[in-house]
Amino acid sequence: MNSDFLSVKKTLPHLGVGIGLRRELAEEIFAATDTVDFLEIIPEQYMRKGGESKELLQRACSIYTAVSHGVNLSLGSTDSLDEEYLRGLKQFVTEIRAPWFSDHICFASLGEVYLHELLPVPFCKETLAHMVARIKRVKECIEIPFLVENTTYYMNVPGSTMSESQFISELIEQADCGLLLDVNNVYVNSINHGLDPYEFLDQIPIERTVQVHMAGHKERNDIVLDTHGAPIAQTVFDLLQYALTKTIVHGVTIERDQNMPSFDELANEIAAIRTICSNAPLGT
Amino acid sequence: MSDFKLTEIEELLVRLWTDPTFFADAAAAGVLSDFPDEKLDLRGASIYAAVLKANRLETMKAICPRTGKIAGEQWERLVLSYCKKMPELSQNKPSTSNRFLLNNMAADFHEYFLAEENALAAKYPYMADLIHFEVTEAALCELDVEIHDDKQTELKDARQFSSLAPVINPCLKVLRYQFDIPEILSAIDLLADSKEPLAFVGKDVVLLALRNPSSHKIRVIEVNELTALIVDTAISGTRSYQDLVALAADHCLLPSEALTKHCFELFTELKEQFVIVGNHTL
Repeated sequence: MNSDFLSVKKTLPHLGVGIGLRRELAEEIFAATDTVDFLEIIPEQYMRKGGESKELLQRACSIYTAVSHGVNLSLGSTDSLDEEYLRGLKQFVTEIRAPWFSDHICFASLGEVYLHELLPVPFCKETLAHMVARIKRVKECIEIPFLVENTTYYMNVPGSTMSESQFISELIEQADCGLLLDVNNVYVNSINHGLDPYEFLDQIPIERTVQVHMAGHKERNDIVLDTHGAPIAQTVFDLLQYALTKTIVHGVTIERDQNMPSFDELANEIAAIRTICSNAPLGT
Repeated sequence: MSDFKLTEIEELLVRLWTDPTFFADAAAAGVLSDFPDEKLDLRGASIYAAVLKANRLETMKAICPRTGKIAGEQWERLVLSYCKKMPELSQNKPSTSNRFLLNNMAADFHEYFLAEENALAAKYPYMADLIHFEVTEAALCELDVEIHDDKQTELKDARQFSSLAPVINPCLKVLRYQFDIPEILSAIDLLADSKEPLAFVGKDVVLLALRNPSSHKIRVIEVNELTALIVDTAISGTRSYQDLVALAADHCLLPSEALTKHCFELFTELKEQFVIVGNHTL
């Protein structure tokens, strides 16, 4: 398929290994310029906000290159696209001078009410057409490269007629956007839905990956949950290593939201990721 | 896909995850009636139901911690009832209300409480004021305004009254309550979770709630009606200090010289408390 995106990808900066900005660890992150290469910032925590939030954001961006990773674009929702949100997001990515921005393959609002959760969509042709159109609108509005992230889904959504890999492949190719590959989500979904995570990586157009997410998960009875609250599992490091045999990525970030460890623990994970990246056959 | 539209599926899913009665009926049947050929994924549905409920309770508790403490075991019902009404309450609200921000989850909580929670309001007559204050405090914390505290333009004497207008902190609200909210906040903070909730006698108070330009903390100052009137009037930025003194003269009986002195002291105090953050020349 013809792709402008793959040409654009070649022009994007290589940001290295970064971390999601979290207030609990902000001071240590700001001091760790020899460990952290770049930051990923959740726009909803800072956009249209003054006071402490604005001050923290300005400090972060004075030290690091930052990319924007949103949670409320609600690409799968049948609510009309929130134009106010889009304007805010455009202003935000401009302010932080983000080289790219991302959001999730999910819906997060219904009836104009935000549910503040990444909710699964049915994998089917109707959802596909709907989300492709919305991604194109987002790309028109915000003229820096846009990536969508594969999310976890804990439920087989009624009306689904496609596999996740088929849905994602068609989505990012038809919308001609990039992929934020969350390898922990690939692992979590593979366990919960009885899939082979390596096959999943073989089935998607992985060359569209610009950024990779790494995170920890929790096994609870018969299910694995993407908690962002535990150390990254070896199986997830292995998947990263495999993904990097198939494509060049421009940044890898750690997401940690709960059960915050010492910064040293995260620094060790960054070092482990850096080792995998430096040994990647295609480079990073 | 079946004949169902995406909208209908999303509505069905959200209802399944947020309406316990609907969930129980679907669980008993083992299917969603609209999708009789697809076995209901009960484990997955339970996870989303639990996560959405926990998110709502935690977010609202973070915005209204003291209301949550007072409501006790009523808190969950109160929040979930409010959330159920959210679509109705958010209709016809301006699109600039930034509903995508987490704190805005509580934007209509006060309106909901006044309209729907008569029993709780009868048990805790101060709860409406408390909710209003906590939601306002959270909004002020994040309000997207720059506060320029201009120390260079302090009033030197009353002769400047006619040529200068005060600049009021743009992150400030004048609040009028039927209960002494500062006293209630302190009492709730000291209250152990297991204790019986406190009772308070009504007392009209006027408060200025504002964000400190350097620490970004919210400060609450109790003021009299005249001070509130002066601040309210000065917010426009078009009224000189002299105009404000004249306004004060209409509302108090002090002789002219004493009133001017009193107002000068008041303006100085308001400046020290970051209510007035500068002057501009008219």
